[in-house]
This record gives sequence, structure tokens and C-alpha cells, in this order.
Amino acid sequence: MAAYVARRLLAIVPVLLGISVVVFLVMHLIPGDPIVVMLGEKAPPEKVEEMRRELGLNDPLYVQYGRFLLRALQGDLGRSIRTQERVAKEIAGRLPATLELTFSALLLATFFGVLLGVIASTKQHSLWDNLSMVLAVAGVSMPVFWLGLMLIFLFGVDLRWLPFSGRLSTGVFLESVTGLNLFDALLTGNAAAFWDALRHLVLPSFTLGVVQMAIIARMTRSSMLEVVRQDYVRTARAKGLSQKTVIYKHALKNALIPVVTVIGLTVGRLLGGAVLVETVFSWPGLGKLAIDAIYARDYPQIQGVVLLIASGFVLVNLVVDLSYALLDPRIRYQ
Amino acid sequence: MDHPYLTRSPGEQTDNATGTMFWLRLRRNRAAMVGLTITASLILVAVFAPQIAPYSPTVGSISEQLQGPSRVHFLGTDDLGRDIFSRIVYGSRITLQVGILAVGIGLSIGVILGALAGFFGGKLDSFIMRIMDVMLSFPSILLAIAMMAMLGPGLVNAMIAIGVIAIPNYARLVRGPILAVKETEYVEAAKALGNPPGRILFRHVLPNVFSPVIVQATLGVGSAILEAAALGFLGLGAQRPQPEWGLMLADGRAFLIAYPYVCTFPGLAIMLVVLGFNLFGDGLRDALDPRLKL
Repeated sequence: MAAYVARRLLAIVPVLLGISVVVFLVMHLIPGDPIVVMLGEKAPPEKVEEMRRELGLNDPLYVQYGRFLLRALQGDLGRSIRTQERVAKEIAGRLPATLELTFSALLLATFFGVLLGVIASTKQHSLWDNLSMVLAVAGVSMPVFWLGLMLIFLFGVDLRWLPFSGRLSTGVFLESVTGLNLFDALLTGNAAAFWDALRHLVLPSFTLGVVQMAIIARMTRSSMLEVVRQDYVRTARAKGLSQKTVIYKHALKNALIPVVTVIGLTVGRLLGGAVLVETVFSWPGLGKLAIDAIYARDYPQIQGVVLLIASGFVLVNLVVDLSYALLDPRIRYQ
Repeated sequence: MDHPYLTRSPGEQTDNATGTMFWLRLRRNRAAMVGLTITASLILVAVFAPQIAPYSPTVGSISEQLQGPSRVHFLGTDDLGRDIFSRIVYGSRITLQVGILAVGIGLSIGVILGALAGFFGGKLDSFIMRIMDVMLSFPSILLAIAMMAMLGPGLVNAMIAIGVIAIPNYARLVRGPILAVKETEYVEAAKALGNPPGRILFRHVLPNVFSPVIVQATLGVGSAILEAAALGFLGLGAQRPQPEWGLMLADGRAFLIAYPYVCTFPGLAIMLVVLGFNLFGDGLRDALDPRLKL
């Protein structure tokens, strides 16, 4: 296993370097002068020259890349052009909101996805089975931002059940410890804020997670249907074990192996989808930061967010690969 | 010179029987037929948009703003008094254009890169595939957004960005089978007969990966449409007053609370069209390669 881990760790180094090149090039492949693009056509020439010197744009490209990489490794992503704030600091401020959103969507998608999948496989061609099929097909065809808008109208405006903007109601005070609202509310024993934060989280995380839930449900279903035909499941039945034990203890454990692999992909789709969902629900996370930065042509900020999300995605996939090898020892020797 | 028996590749089969079997399998698949109908309707609506749409997609009258669905305005009007039905009808042209062009870009570059990597192997292979790995390590919409930051907002740039992010899918799809095909006897035979590598690649190897590419392209049109709508919604794709469906959703958002239908119908249109391509693509996959059926 140690050799496998080392091999996998080494393999991500070139990928991470490649990501850093792509992110570096975002600013250098802009048609025209990036400084003029950022400061606007009417910027005074001395200001343009000053900024060019500040960003080191007069150096050869490889020197600039080397500097960019060295600084990024030390956590220095430059300064935002809009706010003059350090990009790393701004990202750190927004990261918990995105983590909270994607993690709760992932939890929702995996838990209910697996549950629905198991029900669909044990009751083939039942209402649940057909429903999860329709949901999966419709779900992958649905624009996630449109689903968000429709849910806002239904549950936020028409029924008035849930809030649909931001992370906390105005007037609700919560002391920030980790930045993860639910966690902070628990830590400080603030029940009112916990309830408020939870209510704000429902619509965005459902919007973000529901499609992935449907995909995981279909995946679990087909994997379960394959596993329940195996000999060891028949043996478990023949021993006289109850249906529940056979399904949840014997079959599900093995059926989940292929499901684990899609979780890596799911995280990628969730991180991408978060950009849209955050815009719809005015959720103050990284996605919204990136979009606002694009409108303002704030390139250091765009670079920072893209670099962070892409590297995060690579690391998540690494963890998924490693846990896959842990679950299925055959993988390690390939 | 080619010898007709020695160098005929399986992919070259022009047997009518294969085509008939394929069509029979496809026709029996009800979901695929629904998908085909939706796809064909989209093309018809796009072609005959001026005949179908009762009003202009870009000019409205302020006195008729934000009206609910009625006999005069089938799906209502937006905040500028433009007929939503007419905008959706004309928007189908943009949707179709984005789907076809973006897939065209991704497919042509992806297939060529994948074929070169698989066929020639060695350093070229690892170089191309490492780049593909890096591109796949970005969540796709994020890579599209980063490219839009570089290229600047606009419909054409959105098509380019969406096309580029699809390249690795095609390259990977093509490389695998080509690695397998190039070891087969008929390729050996073609080589022994002195065919140049380019000719072997295009005549004997590439035709074999035709079916998975067609399936991926059909499904790819659906995802390209979704991604273009997302960029439009974020204000990075199509620009006002283009009747692009994602942009219509972004504009309708401000009126969601009082006039939800402004957002409902463009979203339904996107979903229906993407559903059509997905159902048709799945059906194609089952019909072209029955072994893959789940």
C-alpha cells in the first residue's frame, strides 16, 4: 500500500504543475495588454507603467512563471486589483461558505443517492425505481441555476418556507470561529443561529446536490443488481439471514466500491455547480468571488480561485483513489 | 497498392445489413425515438424561426411589458414587452449553433490529438495525454469560466471555450481503441503492403472508433448547450439583446418574485432540448453497441 500511495502522490505533481501553468497563462494570453484591460483604456501611462513593474510584467515569461509558482507555494497569490487586499486572505474568508455548501450537497447526494439506489434495486420496476430513473434522466438535462430559481419561487416566495439569499438572516449574530456557520453555532452553543444557518443551507445544497443524488442512485442500483446475483449473497440467504442483513451487510458493502469512484467526479461537478448555485442564492463563497472578479477584470483574484479549486479537486480525486485501493486490494497491484 | 481482402478493416464495412440492424434496434428504443423527435423539432424550429415566431425576438413594446401567458402572447412577455415565445423560438438558433460548433471544435481537435497520441505512442503520446490530464483536472465549467476571463465575454468566445474544454473527452475516447486496433493483423498487413502511416491511420484505424465518437458527440451537444446557457446566465456568454435562453433566465431573475413565468419557459426549453440529445445519444449507444447496454 505504501508503494501505491507514493506512486499516486508522485503522479499528481506534474498535474499540479500543469494547473499552475494554465492558471498563470490566464493572465498572459489575454488579447492585448493585461494592464490596460485591468485598468481601463483611460488609465494614465505612468500608472500603467507602475503596475507593470509591480506585477513584474517586464521580465521574460519563464522568470515570471517561476516567481508566480514560488509565491503560490508560499501561499502568496498577489493582491486583488479591486480591493488591494491579499488574494489569499480574501479566498480564506470565502472558502468556508463554499466548503459548507459543497460538503452538505455531497452528504445529501451520497446518503439519499445510496438509499434510493438500494430501494430501487430491491424493488425493481416499482414507483421508487421509476421515479429515480426519471429524476436521473431529467436531472442531468436540467440547468442547475434554473432549478435554483424555480425552488426559490416555490419554497421561498410562494410557500415562504425557507430563506433563499445569503447564509444568515440579518439580525442573527454568530461569532465566527471556523467560518463554517453550522459548526460555529454548535461550538458556541448558539441554537438560534444554528437553526437559521441550517434553513439558509437547505435550498442551495438541495439545488446543488439533487442531480448528483440521482446519478449516485442509478449507479448504486445497477451495482446492487449485479452484486445480489453473486454466489456469496445466495449463500448468505441460504444461511437464513434476514433480507435486511443480506442487503445492507453483505451486498451493499461490495456494491459501493464502484460508487466510491464516482464520488470524486461528483465533487468536481459540485465545485463547478457551486459557481452557479452561489450566484443564484447570493451565497458569499468562492464561486461568487470568481464571477465578481471576472466582471471587474481582477485577474489575480480569478487566478487564485481557479488555482485553489482545481488543486482541491485533484487532491479530492487522490483521496478517492487511495480509499478505492483500500476498499479493493486488487487495485494496488495494477 | 491495396489488396482488397488483406486490408479491409472491420470499420470499413459498408454492409447494408449492419445499417438496417442498427436502425431496427434504434427504432425499437422508445426513449431514443422521443430524443430523436425532440432533436428534429429543434432543428425545424431553428430553420423556420421567422415563420413560426409571431413577433420580433428583440423588439417589444413597453406598454405590453410583463404580461402573463395569454392568447396574444402565448408564453407572456418580458420586462421590455418582448414576446417570450418568439424569443425562445429564435433562441433555438443560438442553441443549435452553440451545440454544433462547440462539439465540432472539441471533436475535431480531440480526435486528431487522441489519434496521434495512440497511433504514434512514445513521447508524443505522453506529452499530449499529460496536457489532457491537466485539462481534466479542472471542473469543466470552471475551466470554461477561466477561458472566458481570458477571451472576454461573448457568444463566439463561449463556443470556443466550451469546445476546448471538451477536447480531452474525445482524445481519451479515441486513444484507447486506437492502441488496440494498431496491433491487429489487418493494420500489420496494411503496413506490410507499404501504406504510409497517415493513410493507415485515416483509412484503417480511425473508422473503428467511429461509433463511440458519434455517441459522445451527440451527448456532447447536450452538455455544450447546458454550459452555454450557464455562461449566458453568468453574463459571460451571449450578450443582450440576443435571445439566448440562459441570458433570458438571468434577465428574468429580477422579476422572479412577481412574474415567475419569465424564468419558467426558457428553462423548460433548455431542459427539453438537452433531454432530447441525452435520450438520443443513449439510444445511439445501445443501438451501435448492444454489449454496452446496462
